[in-house]
Amino acid sequence: MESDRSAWAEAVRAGLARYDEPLLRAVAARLFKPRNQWPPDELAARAVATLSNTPVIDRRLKELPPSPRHLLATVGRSRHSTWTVGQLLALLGALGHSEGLAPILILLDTGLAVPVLTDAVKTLRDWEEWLSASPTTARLIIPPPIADRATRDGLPLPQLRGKKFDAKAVHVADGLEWPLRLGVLWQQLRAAPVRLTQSSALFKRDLTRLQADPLLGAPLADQTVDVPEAGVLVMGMGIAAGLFVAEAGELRAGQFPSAWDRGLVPTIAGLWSALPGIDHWDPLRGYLLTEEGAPFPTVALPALLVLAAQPDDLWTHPADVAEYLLTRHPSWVTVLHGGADDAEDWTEAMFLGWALPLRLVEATQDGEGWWVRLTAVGRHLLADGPAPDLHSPFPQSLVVQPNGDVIVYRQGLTPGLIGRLSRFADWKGLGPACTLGLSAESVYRGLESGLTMADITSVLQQHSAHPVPANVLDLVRRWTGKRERITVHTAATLLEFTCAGDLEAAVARGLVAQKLTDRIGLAAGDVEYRHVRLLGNRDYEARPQQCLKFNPDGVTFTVDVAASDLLLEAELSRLAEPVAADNGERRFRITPTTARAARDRGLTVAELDQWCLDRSGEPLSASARLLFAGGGGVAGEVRRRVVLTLPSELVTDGVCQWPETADLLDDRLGPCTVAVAEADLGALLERLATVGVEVRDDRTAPGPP
Amino acid sequence: MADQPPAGRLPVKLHRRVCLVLTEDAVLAEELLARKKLAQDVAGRLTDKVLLVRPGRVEAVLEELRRMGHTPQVVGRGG
Repeated sequence: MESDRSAWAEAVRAGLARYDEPLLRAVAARLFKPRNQWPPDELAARAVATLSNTPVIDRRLKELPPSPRHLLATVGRSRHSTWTVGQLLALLGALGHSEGLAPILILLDTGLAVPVLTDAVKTLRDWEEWLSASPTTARLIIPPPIADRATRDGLPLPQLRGKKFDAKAVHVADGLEWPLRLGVLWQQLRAAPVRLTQSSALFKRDLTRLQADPLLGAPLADQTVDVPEAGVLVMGMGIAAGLFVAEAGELRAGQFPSAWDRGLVPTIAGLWSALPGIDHWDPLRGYLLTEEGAPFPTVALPALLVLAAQPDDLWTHPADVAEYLLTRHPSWVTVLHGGADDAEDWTEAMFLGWALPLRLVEATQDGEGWWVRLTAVGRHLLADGPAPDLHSPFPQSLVVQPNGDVIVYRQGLTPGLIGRLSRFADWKGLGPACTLGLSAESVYRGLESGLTMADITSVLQQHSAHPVPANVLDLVRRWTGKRERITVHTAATLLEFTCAGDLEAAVARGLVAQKLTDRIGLAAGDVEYRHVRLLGNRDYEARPQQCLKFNPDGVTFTVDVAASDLLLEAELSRLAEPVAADNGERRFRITPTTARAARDRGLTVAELDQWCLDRSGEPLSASARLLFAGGGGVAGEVRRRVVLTLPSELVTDGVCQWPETADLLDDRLGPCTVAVAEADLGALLERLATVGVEVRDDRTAPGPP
Repeated sequence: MADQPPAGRLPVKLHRRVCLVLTEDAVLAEELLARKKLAQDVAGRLTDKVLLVRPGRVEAVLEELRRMGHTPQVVGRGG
């Protein structure tokens, strides 16, 4: 995996940074023998630099015992730098080394391997502490320069019996089977991501989706063996190769690796290096979920290395490879239910079902069954053979039909073309000639992935054996043009100026890409602060800011222009109308008309109350509530009443409480006043008189002049 | 232009992380606003061709636009 090989220095630096100082000094002393007492940061930096220093690496490798040296060479051949301890133990076993963890600990002690630490590990004091938490699933990184140098010494692999014969038919794949299926799954993930459990396993529904997909499970162009659950294998390859990205429990389509544009050999190399990540698939059983991962990578890698150890022209029987590995590999037997026979079937299925379509091996048959050997690509990757020239001699391999279907002949197909076609055309059929379809949706997908209309039409025109039908080009033009009709900005930066002249000046300075109103423009990239003086700064994903101040009348309010935002403008236009203000302030008022209009549009009092709280920090005023809610559907009442004023609040409390008088009262109007029905007044005054409360009747008294 | 020394700093209010829908013409904006499910996620209309989307509702707006048969160009997130 290319990112894996280029990101190693950062991963190693991150690992060393969490070493406890005594551990770091001990490792550095073995790695490059520091002459000074450098501080830990510098020590770590020098250790990372040493890992690219070829003469020092060669000296350290020479000092190693055979088992860690062989492990490094195997990792080097894999072109993958991050491994679990369990996988490395399995590889050591497959190579015939039975010292357990010792070779891995030697690599850690000498700084030739560095743990990939989880967030839970703040400081690493010793290896035992690190390994105790997850003895086999703990991961470590082996820097590619170390592993690459180690491959020069070779591996202690056997010369198997083999056979030389003039094969009648040799099965060699074009190496495009997996890139094609990766393109198919990439499209499917763009349309609907696959959900993953916490342990990165598949949910039943998604597993069924992968199992049942007719394209992912389509027969290989040169089918020699059934590939069980090819969709799961493709998914594993895509994840390990970085084409599919697991994010928040979902597997999504990522970017096509740049290696695909560099040709078939770099693409195959990338997919080969993804092997250690395919840990949920088995050549005989398909989807295989185990806690420590399927043994597929740790059997397939040494099996291919065994082939690499054979002479170029010798055919090897899968059974011989199986026999060699079965007694050595520590965990392979756990997935083999039929012993040696099963091991032979497994090895054959692995070679023919995975390595043959990947163009790592070629195969032939005789009376003894299948025989395999490495291809030129396999020899290049596993035995330092020269890089073969796999350049396609037929660049014009497409036929675009007037109905928008595209036929692609495999002779001219390249991984780069597969990647580009996958982005803007739907795969419909895989075979010696593959079929794709152009549609509005597929072209839209291509545009969303970053292609332009010119990119799409030039791919069709450059690779088409005949002129592309004019109606298809017209359709593509129309579909891409349709996309120009609506643009959605998910996180735009807008600049609001105080006057139109400033906006024009900002356009002239290149600060604004597009004018939206006479004062507001869409920022062109990052804002250059040397050109502007900030009056306000609003983040629309943050909570709304308080920017209104209500007057005592409860319906008129003033806007704090510095704190307000564009959403407020839209809200105000629905709720209130502007009021003239002398001092340049922006003032608005809720009126019966605006309140009624807002209510008619479905705004509730509760929503308005929340809006007032968000925008002014105060609840909805009584007067505003009156305008919005009125009487709440309850009718008022007009009655004629006499108002009785009593001598004190205490006396009024007593009159309201004593049942003899309370029954004759209407409502209490204030601390010392109550309302009484005219008909009850006489009886009330009599009862008050009995308890010594005198009341003067002013109703007949003359009013003021 | 941006490399030239600024003639003066322009007073400006910055609105960050705003969700907008820009339409080709006003009629299209009207068409979008006539769609009830879409209109409820639109906070307001900045101009006759620019709609302001409520914070956090941009994915729903995109989904509804696609359901309407539009193929909007999305700016501001990974493709």
